[in-house]
Amino acid sequence: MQALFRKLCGLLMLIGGLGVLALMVNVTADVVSKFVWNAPIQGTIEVSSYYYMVALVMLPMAFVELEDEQISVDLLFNHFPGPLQRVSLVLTCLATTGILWTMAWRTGLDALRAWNIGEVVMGSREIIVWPGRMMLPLGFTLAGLAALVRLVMVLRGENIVKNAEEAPSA
Amino acid sequence: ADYNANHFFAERHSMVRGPYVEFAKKVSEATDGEVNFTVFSGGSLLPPAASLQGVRDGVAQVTYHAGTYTPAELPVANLIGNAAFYNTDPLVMAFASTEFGLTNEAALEEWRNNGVVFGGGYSTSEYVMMCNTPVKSFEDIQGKRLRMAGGAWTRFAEFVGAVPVSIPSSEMYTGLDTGSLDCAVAAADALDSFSLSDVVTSMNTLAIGNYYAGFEWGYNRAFWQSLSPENREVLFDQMAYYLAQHRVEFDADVEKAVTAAKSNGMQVYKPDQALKDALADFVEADEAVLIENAEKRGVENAEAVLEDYKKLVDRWDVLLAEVDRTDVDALAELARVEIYDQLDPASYGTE
Amino acid sequence: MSNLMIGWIGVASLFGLLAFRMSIGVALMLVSFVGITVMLNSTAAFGIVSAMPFNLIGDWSLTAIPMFLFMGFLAANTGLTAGAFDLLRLVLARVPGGLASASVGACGLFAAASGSSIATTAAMSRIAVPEMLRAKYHPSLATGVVAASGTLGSLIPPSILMVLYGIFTEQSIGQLFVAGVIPGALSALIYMGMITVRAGLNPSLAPPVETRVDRAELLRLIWSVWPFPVLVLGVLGGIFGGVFTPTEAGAIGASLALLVALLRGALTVGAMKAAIRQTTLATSSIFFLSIGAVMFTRFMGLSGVPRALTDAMLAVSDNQIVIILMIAALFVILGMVIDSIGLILLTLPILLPVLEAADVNLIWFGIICIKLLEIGLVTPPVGLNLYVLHSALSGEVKLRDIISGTTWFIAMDLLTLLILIAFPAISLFLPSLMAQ
Ligand code: NA
Ligand code: NA
Repeated sequence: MQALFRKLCGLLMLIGGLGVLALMVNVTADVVSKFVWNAPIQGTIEVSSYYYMVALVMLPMAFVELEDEQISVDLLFNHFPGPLQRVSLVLTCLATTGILWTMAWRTGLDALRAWNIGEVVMGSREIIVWPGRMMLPLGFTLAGLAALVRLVMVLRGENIVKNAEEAPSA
Repeated sequence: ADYNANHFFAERHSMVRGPYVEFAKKVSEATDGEVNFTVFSGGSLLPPAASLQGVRDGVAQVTYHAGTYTPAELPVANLIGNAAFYNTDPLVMAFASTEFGLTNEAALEEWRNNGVVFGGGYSTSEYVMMCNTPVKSFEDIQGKRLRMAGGAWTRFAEFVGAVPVSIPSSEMYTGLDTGSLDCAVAAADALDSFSLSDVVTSMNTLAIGNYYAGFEWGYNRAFWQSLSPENREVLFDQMAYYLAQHRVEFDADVEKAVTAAKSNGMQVYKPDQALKDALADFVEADEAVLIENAEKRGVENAEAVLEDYKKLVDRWDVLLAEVDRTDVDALAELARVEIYDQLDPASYGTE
Repeated sequence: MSNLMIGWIGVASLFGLLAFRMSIGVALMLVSFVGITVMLNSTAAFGIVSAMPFNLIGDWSLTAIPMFLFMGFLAANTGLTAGAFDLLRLVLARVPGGLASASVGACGLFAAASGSSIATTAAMSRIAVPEMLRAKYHPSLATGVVAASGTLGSLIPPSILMVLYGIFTEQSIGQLFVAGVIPGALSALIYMGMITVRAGLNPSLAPPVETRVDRAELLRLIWSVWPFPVLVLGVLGGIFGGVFTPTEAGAIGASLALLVALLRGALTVGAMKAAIRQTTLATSSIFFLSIGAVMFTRFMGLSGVPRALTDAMLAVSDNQIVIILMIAALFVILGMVIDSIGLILLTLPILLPVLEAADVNLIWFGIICIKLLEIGLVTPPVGLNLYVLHSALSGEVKLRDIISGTTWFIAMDLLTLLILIAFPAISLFLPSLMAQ
């Protein structure tokens, strides 16, 4: 089960990575096309912002959470005794799932609403944006699930702090 | 009680200065502090695209909303807002779109569906081309990169052979400065408020519509319904005043900005006949597109709705022809008598 | 309970949650959501959830951040910029901390091609920091210098923050741009001076380098330098030639890095994959934190904390210098927890009338304001530059070392700030030439 979830997160991370390439290629092509033929690729700004960027940020979110790559400060935490460290990790994971699923719930409702009305934005062209919105609840839900997986790992006594720091450096 | 008011323009802009900052003070005084708005400007509370949603959810109790951000949510408002070339007199459009938003059945239903109570409209001054290279004629405009507001404006650019570019307004300055943009199409107060006068060397006065889509004041429904009819009347009264005041102030800001830019060497060109003809041809051709777009998004009788709006525009064209266009009090009185006095504060926005 | 009280409790809770190693993004989201629910109601809190993430991620000008990150990762993974740094190491062998000073210069140059500090840091962190680490520089110096110098991105034109400041204060953006040039150069010089003195006194920070190389080696080095200037000048030239905008520059920079790597035969599938993966991880984690940061800024705004603090500090005196010093203190405090754009949006409406009453030159104040906002970018917990750097280095350097490394630079920023306040001419000289 866990292995399957990890595979899924890895796959979404990969798709997010395609967003990097798509962004680079599309914007570059737009610039070249403007420069050479004075003909912009209409919709570049909208597609870049509402698709590539959203994919790039939202899809890898669960992977980032699972790998403990979210940014945190462990200044005080490192000086906590072992049991207190585990208690903080348990509470932190629970809170993370709680707020991320809250975000998933609301952005999910927004995505449904956007789908129902067929949401578009008006740039140089009208661009449909509701499919982009779908990536938000997906990303938040899976990231919340990843935090739960981490919770299970803590309860099993596994180490989930990736960059567990040694003694403070000079 | 304390409430939140949201506008994404800068606090010193003529659409915030009077209609939000002063308005909030006057409303607070007239309601003995029962309605006390804290003004959040510059998008510090809600980003432009989320203003409509934010007021519906009660993040703000009143907000400005630029309608073109939400074409799917507000098809009627966008049908009207994109008819910006029918009559390019901003004063007429501000008053006509206000009356339309407050009285037209299709519009009222649309506001209701979006959880807002429409309070009043607005209009920017005429959109003009501000360029870093002389653009005088139809020939000059060919292939020029114009920063456009989207919608009908974009179609206009393509219609006359220019290249529409849709960058955010914050990138206009750098675009004109480095030359990745030839012209910004906006109200000419942008010469000052976006300091475009630093980088603009010429202006063409062809009136490329004016922007009035959405609303200047849209209220959260629950908030509106919690107000006493007396307090609603205070809001009506103040909105009537600032509907007039913001128009006069906006034009004054434009005048000031253009005068200053001219004295710094900006050239002002009148459009040649070919350009004027092209605009006229476009307006005629675009009406079908407007109606088609609206119907595609579920507006029934889009043609009839547009006709209703045009009637209001013509009505205000006549009404405003006899008034001193710089006399705020006279204009406000006209807005009260012809629009707001016709509404019943006990029932408006409660159904 | 008053909104103000809720706001202060929110700030305290934020610090509390962070101590328990909650990720910064989650802590910011959680405190904002609960705070707004208590203050208004859950509908409004959900309204903020609804408004912020999609609009933040969908902000076109932010696309420059992943693109400059990608450029940096590509350049680093394919060894494009190592040559330039090897040569610099030789040339600057006699200068204590020479590579760090050279990084300041490189950031300053790059700042002229980028409108945002975060984008500048994103591009330079992967290019410069590993080279300094390779030369056995202390990690805190190697990272602190880039975190701090990245902030030149907003002080040296073009600058998104200056554009916003210009719009909100109705000052000429052109004059602001010009006014930023000397203070930007001054900041860079002061950084370099501090580096030289510190590294001179304590050589373990930046060990002296072996300088003897034979002719052949030197020629090889000089030949290998070209990719770095090509990248930087390509991006700079394109912006000033009107070919593309500072936002588009990120994608062009990345394409250029790809092209150069290809030409040099250094572009392997492995390097490419690693660069994409690193960019994806860094972008996702930075934007996750940013979503929390913009939600928290809304919570702060609604609570009235910035307003109350500003009112209280401005009430002290109507003397120009006292007012400016109070504003400096205010920005340093609020800058810890509020993002830079949020900070100007929330405070400028209150500050402007006071500044005008005290007859403060708003171009001069603009430069001071930008410099202060930049300090906020490197102070935790909401200090995006720190995290961009941390993410760009894939955790190679501890966040704590990055933070401690920047403290020296913050001290220099405060010094620069005092100089800018004491001598308005530093900011106003160039604009005065322009006005004539
Ligand atoms: Na810059
Ligand atoms: Na900070």
